[in-house]
Amino acid sequence: MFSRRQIMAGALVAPFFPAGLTSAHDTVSDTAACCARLARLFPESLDAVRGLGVLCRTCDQPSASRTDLLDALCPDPSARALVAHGPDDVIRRWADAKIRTDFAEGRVVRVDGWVFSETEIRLFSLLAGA
Amino acid sequence: MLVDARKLPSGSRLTAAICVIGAGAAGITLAREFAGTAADIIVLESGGTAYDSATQALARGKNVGYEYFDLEGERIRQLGGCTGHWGGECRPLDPEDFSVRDWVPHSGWPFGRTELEPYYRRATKVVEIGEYDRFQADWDEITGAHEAFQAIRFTTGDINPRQFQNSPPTRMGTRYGPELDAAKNIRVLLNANLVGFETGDDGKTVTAAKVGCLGGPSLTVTARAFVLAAGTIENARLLLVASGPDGKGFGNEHGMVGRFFQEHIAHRELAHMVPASKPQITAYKEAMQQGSVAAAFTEAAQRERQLPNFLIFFDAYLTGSEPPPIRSFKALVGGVREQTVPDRFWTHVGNVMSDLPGVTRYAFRRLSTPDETVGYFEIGFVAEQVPNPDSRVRLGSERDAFGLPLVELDWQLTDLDRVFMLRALDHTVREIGASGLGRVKIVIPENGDGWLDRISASHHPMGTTRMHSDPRHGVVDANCRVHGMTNLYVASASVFPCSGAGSPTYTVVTLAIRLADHLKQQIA
Repeated sequence: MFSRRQIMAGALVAPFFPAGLTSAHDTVSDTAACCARLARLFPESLDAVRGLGVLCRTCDQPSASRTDLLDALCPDPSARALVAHGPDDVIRRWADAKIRTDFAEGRVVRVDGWVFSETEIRLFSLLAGA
Repeated sequence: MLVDARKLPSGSRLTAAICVIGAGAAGITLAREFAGTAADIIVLESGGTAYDSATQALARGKNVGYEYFDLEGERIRQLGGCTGHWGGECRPLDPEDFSVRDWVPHSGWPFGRTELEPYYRRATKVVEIGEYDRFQADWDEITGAHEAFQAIRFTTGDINPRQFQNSPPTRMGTRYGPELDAAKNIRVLLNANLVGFETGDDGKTVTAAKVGCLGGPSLTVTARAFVLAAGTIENARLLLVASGPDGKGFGNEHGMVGRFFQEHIAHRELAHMVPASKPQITAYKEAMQQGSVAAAFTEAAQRERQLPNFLIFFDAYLTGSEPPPIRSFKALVGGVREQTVPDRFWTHVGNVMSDLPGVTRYAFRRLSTPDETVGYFEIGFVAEQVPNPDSRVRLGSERDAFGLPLVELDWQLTDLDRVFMLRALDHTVREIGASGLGRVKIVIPENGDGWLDRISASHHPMGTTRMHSDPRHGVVDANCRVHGMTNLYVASASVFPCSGAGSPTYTVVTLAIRLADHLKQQIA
């Protein structure tokens, strides 16, 4: 059974990427800037996501650096460029599709009972250190 | 007409074209199919039109396997049989349930679902539900009728909805009793218990049914065909009793009678899902009450992933923990709405009484505040059991008032049931994620430890006289005739070789109609 706090955290993350983000075209491409952009995907639940990220890091690749995690999230230059320069709503759709594909193809990780996609694990871990 | 057999002269010898043993869903349906025809039908019903404790005690038995319901309370010896306490949920078996699936041992029926479809259509009238085609509803139709179901709408194409229809429920004793009473060619002998058979010299043709009445006369019924329609457990018992000193008679040449007892395995609270979209909880529950909707893998997805058939149910809850008194209160209210007695009824009553002020406050708050949205769904499965020859009904050492052995039920699951549950859960969670339905927390251990403590049976006993074209693997053939017997037939869920995941009563009625058509040809 959940506590109300757990439910709220889950509920905030459940839609994965809430709508209503800005679509500014940032030009930054370094890791820190990418992390900052990805953090904007969770305007109201970043603390919960970071908390999950800390938990994820203890369970999955605890020694991975932020660069490693970002490389794993964006293994090809076009994805990296998208995160660095794309509109927020496009980034959201890209990540959403990536997460759904992870689930469909069985790339999932169980953390304290919760089932996450590998993409989410990397994303949460990345933001936990951001 | 309805006749109290206790008032007939002892030694009476009655004659009919067909003698049906049991007046439950199968027996009454079969008899009604003959109403107004030239065929004389006699139906033997152990009970009367009301509950009688001495008669009900004939249903006693012992559970020696996995935890199961009390056998005396599980079955009803009364006109109408177990339709006197069924919940009324109807759903046909799915096409894949009839297939031989190499990953499900002992799977497959002798025919496909298309064979049953005309009878499923006719059976809708018997159980008083809507058109058969409603069972085929897809996600568009289901969410079109009830927006609340959007929360569980899978979008990957591998999981389809499974729409149930609710019978009133049809209590066949009260609903069809007057009709049977008025039928000139049907005699329903009440308080008439089958205590044995007489056969011809070859032992393969039943010539008469021997009937005993508690504290009353003994009778004999001769007929050209006999149909056992006494339910899954009793059918096996009666055949085993009749099988003779060597136990090889009456379809038991290969020791198959009583084997493959199956239930629908209810896996409770496997996981919780925080939904991405949150319907109003009342709207969701009301939609469910109008006809449950479950989700299930398509036939192709089952084959590709080597899954059994199972239904995924989403029970809606508000956020946070609810103490046992509140949960019990909800269970009781749900029972009232569905006109059923919930499992562990007295435990629920005790829980409610333990905090009556708290339950009262809760009820008042629910009535006086606006509807709330679903906080989370509890995910559970109702799964087909892997057919298992070691799960069986046997004759025990205790005897009933007629001196006949009472049953021992040895319900056994296999480790494959656990493996299938874990595999099914894994794939379900993946589909939820791939469909973006929400976030899932699995609440059982990864290896399924303790799974037996989280399951229960579903009041759906099946499979003890399974249908198979080969007598080495079954008890009845595709026409429900007992292998090796010329004129003895079986009707009830005992003939199911595989259980599927849908409720059995509707299929029991369907098979009874089909058997009636067959018998009409046989006795013509």
